Amino acid sequence: MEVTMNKEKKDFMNRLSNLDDFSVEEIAEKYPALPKSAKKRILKQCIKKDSFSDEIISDGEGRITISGTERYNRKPWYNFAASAAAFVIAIGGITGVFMLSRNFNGSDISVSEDPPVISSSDNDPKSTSENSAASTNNTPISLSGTNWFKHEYNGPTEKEIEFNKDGSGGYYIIYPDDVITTESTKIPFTYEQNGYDITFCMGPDDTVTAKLSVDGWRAMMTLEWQDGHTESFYDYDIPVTSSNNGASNDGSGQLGTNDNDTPQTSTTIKETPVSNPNGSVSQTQKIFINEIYYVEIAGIHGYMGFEFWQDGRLTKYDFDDYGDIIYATMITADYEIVEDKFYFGDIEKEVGTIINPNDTSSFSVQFSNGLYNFSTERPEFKKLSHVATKPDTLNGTTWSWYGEWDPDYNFTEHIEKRKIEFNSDGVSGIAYIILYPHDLTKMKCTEIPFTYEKKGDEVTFHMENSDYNMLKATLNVHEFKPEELSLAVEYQNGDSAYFALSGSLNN
Amino acid sequence: MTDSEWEQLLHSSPSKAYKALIEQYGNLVYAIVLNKIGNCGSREDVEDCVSDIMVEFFRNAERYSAGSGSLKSYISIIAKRRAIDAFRQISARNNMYSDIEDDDIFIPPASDDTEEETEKRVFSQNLWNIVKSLGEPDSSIIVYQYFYNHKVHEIAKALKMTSEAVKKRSLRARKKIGTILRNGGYNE
Repeated sequence: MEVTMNKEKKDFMNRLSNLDDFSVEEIAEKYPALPKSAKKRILKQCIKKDSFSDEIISDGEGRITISGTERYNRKPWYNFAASAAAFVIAIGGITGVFMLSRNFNGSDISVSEDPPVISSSDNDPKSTSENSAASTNNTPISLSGTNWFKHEYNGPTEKEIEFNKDGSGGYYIIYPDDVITTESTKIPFTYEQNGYDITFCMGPDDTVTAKLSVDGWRAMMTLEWQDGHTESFYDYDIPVTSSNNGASNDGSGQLGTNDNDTPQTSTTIKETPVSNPNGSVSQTQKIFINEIYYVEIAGIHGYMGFEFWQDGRLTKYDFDDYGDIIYATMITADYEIVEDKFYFGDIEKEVGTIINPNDTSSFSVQFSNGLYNFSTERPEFKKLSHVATKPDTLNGTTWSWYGEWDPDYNFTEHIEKRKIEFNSDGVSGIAYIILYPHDLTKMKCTEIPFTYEKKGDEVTFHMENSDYNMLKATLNVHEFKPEELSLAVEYQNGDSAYFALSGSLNN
Repeated sequence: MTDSEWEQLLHSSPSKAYKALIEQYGNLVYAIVLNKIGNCGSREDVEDCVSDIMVEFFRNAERYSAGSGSLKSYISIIAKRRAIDAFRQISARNNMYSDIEDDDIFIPPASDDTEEETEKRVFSQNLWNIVKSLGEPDSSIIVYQYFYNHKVHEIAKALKMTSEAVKKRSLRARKKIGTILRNGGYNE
């Protein structure tokens, strides 16, 4: 939590903590946050810590109610077995019934060849809205009253473009890291819209041009500044239709309009069913499906979220079953990891069955109202922005143990974490073993110095006076997170463990 | 389930009493722990601490009597004490990662600046009052995002909203909070 949290969030959390007892009770009551899966995890931990009798494990009806909820280290054969199981299940036609949390949304709106000019001086938002509500929409979006955000993925919103409702202009807003105590910077502007082209005047000499388009299911505005750099902003409230979804590629993006500020409850794009008796792909279409649920794997029933992103990527997952939680990791390194954890139990409605989920170039979904075919053409897949490169030397790097909870460990004695630190001299280092005893008052750290030799990806250690002698290690690009490096360490007692690189490489 | 019923359950079926305890007071204990260690510990740390509290309570359950006070108060006291312990341990652990000197226990010194602590507490309380005044779903979004540290997509799923709507509402809510604070705070 503390590692991945951005500064702004941490600041805010610091402030929203140490509340009085009454407030905490109020939060617990009004905003309960423990899902069943977490309660089971906690119960399982209690059982281990309390050395509980078998009574709690049995629910009295002969069924095991608490089992397999512990995290465990992935076994070497697991990836293969999981992949094979998933493949067999898919091919075998086990009909996973998938659920969508939101209805498909959108209506066909034809693309205007010659969009009219709307300037800030003669803008009439009402008339534009009325036009857009008509069955045939020949006008681009009215910018009046819209808000456009620039998002960093998994990060804070940084900037906003806010258009006044009267069409007179608006503000380009830059948010500080801490929106609570620090004022935003608001730069006023006037603007002129010519179809999908916008010209901002932010000062006597500052002219910024922008273009409206569609990025997948989102309305996008790309600003080009005078120095040549560009910024993309999005307005999620503006619905985008399937017909204009692909239009952004050729620059003729078409947007629908939104009369009010109510967030859309659906971001999916409905495609016209393409009934095809043999299930083959008859035309290329794209879809964004945010959530599809339900999966059945080797007798385990659960709900699984898949992300078919706006550009049609088909994401494939490996399954790690931890009882109530399935940890899913994308198998193919070419795809960006967009989700890593899915919980059972959040089922909303049945939507369809994926017919050919193992085909990376296309897939079909059988919905109750017809067969939908989708293309996931490979050039459109989003590549990972960064794939780790193996360094020539480990000098100065620090590696942390992947393991969190070892099921074979005696929790009543201690929990162990490990760390390997390579000195910058290239010949020595220190391996830390940090022990957290159960009573949490006798925490201690053991430092074990070592020397090492690296040949290619193989590292040979020499340690003395330790029960944790590392013999050798192999440097790898992480199997499931190719942007990360890992060290697979083998110990003299036959154990093995994975360590992840902490921070970035210095060399 | 009343406290007396739970006490009876403890004697008739300890396992069911254990489950009932987590079911009934899990959220409260979780919130108490998070209130103390939410900004320094991981989710695993929080759950670990919650389970420690449950174990401690259960081990001492024989001492509890429904006639002597509410179960809620009893478990709250244990939770607060354990959460403070956990805060110290996690702080010490975090220090050890950066500066490991020896095997001593690292316990952060108590703050001498009582005035500053009081101000922080008043500010947090003020902030919480403002968050409550936002109305739904903004209050929920802020609580789940900044008290429980849930991810946007988790909140979106829980509140049946899109992730983008959650982000947008969160930003607007924080802007509103900032405006209220800058204009003199919130006094109920």
